[in-house]
Amino acid sequence: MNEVKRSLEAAAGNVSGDKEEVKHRILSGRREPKRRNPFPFVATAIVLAAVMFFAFNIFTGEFSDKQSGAYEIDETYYDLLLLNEGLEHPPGSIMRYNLLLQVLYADSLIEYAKTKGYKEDAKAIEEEAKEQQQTFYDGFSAEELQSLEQSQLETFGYTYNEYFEHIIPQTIRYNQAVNWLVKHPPENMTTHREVLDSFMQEHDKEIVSFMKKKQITTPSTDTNYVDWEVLVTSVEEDTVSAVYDLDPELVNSMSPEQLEASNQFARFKVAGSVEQIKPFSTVTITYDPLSYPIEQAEQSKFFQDVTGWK
Amino acid sequence: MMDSLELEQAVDEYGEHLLKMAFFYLRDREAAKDIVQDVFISYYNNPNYEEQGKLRAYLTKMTINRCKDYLRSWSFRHLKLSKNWIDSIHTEQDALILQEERTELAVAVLGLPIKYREIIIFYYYEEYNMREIAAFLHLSENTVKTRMIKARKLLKDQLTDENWEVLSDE
Repeated sequence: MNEVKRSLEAAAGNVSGDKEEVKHRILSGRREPKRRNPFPFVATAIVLAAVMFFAFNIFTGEFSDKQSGAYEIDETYYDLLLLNEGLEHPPGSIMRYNLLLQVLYADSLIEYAKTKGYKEDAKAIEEEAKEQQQTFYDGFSAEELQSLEQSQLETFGYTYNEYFEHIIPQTIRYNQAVNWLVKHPPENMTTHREVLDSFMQEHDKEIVSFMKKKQITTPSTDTNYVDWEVLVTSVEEDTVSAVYDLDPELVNSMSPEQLEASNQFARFKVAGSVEQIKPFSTVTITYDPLSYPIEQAEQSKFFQDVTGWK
Repeated sequence: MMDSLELEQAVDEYGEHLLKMAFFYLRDREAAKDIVQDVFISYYNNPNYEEQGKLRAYLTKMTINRCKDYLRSWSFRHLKLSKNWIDSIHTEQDALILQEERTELAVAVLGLPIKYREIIIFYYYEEYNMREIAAFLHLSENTVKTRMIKARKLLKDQLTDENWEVLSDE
């Protein structure tokens, strides 16, 4: 075996457990691929929950008297996000909310990082974006590029140039701010919810104005909590550790360290008594999916705000 | 439609290979599982493939096509923002084994843009020659060679001299 192959094999690791899981999912009748892990950053549930909170607060007027800072929502970026979704999203559709929240969420993290000492290097961001663009285009013939552009336009509704000029730089900005926050966690625990709330309070006028311009309306709900069915793996004092969408037999065979390293692992701080929650039981937890510490962008989440379970 | 036993046999025989290939493309174990599950379900529902001797290649092609669709999708492009695939390699695998097996090489390969990465994967991991890679990926042989040169250049910039020598000697 050559060294590169050996190295790739080592990186892939032992996938026999994954194979058994896939086989079990197929043969047990779960013929559709499972839903994606709800715990990572900006899962749909998070966006939805944040949207609900945002919409409710904006339109109850809670923030309307606050002073706004200098903030402008990147309209081109928002429009491209909307185009990217491909389908028609008429005024008032939930997708328009989701995308706005996606923009606000990223902007709030960047702004928060700046208040803690992060200095954004605009030139480095521009250079990285250009490098990604160059790497992408490099090696394609003119015919291949034309075909790619056509496919891109048909699939997403905008050109690769627009993608590299508007979307990639925003993604890099977000990445760099998050990386900085992971390396420089705040002294006092701060959750994503707190950061987003504060950001929206400060910029409520710009946000409301943008919503009006883009015909974004509020959903008819006022909750920022979601329900999720999880398998409890351990209970310690007020903390419930759990996994999502893993086969109980597989969970049984995994060590605590392996479980914690899984993308499907999370902790929940449960108010009140947790004595009735037993390991290896399946419970539905109602929690705020933005209530995890700011520095946990790339690791298992510890959700601080749980309102109930059953 | 094939029966469940045949499907189970196919998963047993090719599942691990497809999971690894999907991981090399996506760098995401969960997404790899979803893709491979989808591939086997499609194969189960429409097994219009008679040349079982080439089934491995057929399923591999289905897998990488789905991986490419996923990489082009918005969910990957915008939501999969982090670099935690490197962390996952280091947290999920045994540290001593990783050290012994020169994982720096794999991390560098998996860090390449996909069009270069796949050439390296098919050349070194699948051990195809340039012509076979070109045929499999529907590219011209010249394009494959150009991408291989670029891929090696990108890897050289990232690897230590020792690891670069290992790669350049093979």
